[in-house]
Amino acid sequence: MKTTKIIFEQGEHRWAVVARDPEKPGYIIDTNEYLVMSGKHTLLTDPGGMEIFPAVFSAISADYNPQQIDCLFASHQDPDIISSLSLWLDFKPELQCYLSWLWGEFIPHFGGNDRTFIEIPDEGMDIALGSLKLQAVPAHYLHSSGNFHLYDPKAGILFSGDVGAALLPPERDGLFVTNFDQHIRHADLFHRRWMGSNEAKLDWCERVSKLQIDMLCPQHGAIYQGRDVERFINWFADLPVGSGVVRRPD
Amino acid sequence: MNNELQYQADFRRMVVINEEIKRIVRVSNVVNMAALNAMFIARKAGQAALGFGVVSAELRVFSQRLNEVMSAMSGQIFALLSEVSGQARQWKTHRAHLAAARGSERSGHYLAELLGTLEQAMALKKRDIHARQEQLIAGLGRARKLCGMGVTISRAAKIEAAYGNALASGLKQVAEEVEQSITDILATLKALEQQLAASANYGM
Repeated sequence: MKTTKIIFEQGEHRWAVVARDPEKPGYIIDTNEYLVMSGKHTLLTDPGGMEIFPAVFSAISADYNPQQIDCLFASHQDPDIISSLSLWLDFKPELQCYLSWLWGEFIPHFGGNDRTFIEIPDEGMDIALGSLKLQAVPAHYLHSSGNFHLYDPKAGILFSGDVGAALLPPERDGLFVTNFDQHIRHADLFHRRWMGSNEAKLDWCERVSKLQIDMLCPQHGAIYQGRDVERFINWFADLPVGSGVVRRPD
Repeated sequence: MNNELQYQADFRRMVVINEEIKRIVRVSNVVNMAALNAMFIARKAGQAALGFGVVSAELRVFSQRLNEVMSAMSGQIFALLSEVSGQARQWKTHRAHLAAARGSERSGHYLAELLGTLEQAMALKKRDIHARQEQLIAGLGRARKLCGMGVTISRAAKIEAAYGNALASGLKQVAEEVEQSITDILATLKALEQQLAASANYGM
């Protein structure tokens, strides 16, 4: 079963990560979900796919009241991001979901109605969570054409969706990056292949390098902290993306 | 077989039944055309094929009636397919929530009400599907009785064909083809009734 772990806490302002499911079948990519809590208000980032809903829901319920989740944040439209939407709405029909306007007519195929979605314009927007003000940061084409990350200036945390993701072997799947050089090898091909635009990548690198980020939290793999955040941004800026097509053997 | 697999099997069975009903509608159209053709031949044959003409007109009425009955059943099976596919989705949703509820005592607590609501909705849908299946089985029974009448008419046509003088062999061939088509439809209808009655939703 997945478990939750607090990664930031300051009074009633908390971030928890829902991660690592040893029982997850090998054919489903592992995901990290993040709970952002401000008093009695909670936002859940990229809640995941239908198949992992039981693991995510149980893990959250073990430590928190899932009724307090007010909204979901979908970084983009992929099934591992938001295909569990209808199950969450079964549980709490008034849940709202922030997502790029680009996917406003697509994600409802997973569930929801005209009251469910709050569309984020291309330039991003502020998201209020209780007394907390979060920011939806544009990350278009990284990898989806309508893509957002979520920044919490007070906590210094950037939820970075697929940016920073790594496909880690079981023996190196710690929650935090401890050896950047070793870790980044497992992120290399992922970024070369999934990220399609050097222009968009550089735009993102410039944008986030101006933010105060203590933790960069991807949806797959391990969390970057402290100096590793800057290391990652520099590494990403230099990486020739859109170059990861591997010729399969005939 | 667990419930979900049974419902998946039901779904596939409904698709097969839908295809068979569509096939019967096509065959009844062929019977209709054959009966119309027989009426024209009988008219050409004049007095000698008067009896065949009367019987082929009856065959045409029969085939039109069969077509109506089967078209109505097409609508019913379409609605049933939609219900059964919706039920498959309900099962998947229920399975996911049940797995989440079993994850821990607390998640079970949070999901207890939702599971109750889902199970009620599932029971309602099951009743609805059962009622639709009964309706469809009754329709198949009516179509089977109608086909029984059709076989009798086509046999009468075969007897009347013998009086068709020079056209006798042609009329006999038409009558035999019609009889064969109706007999095939009859066998298909019986098989469909059995298949429907065997589905997991039925008789529960």
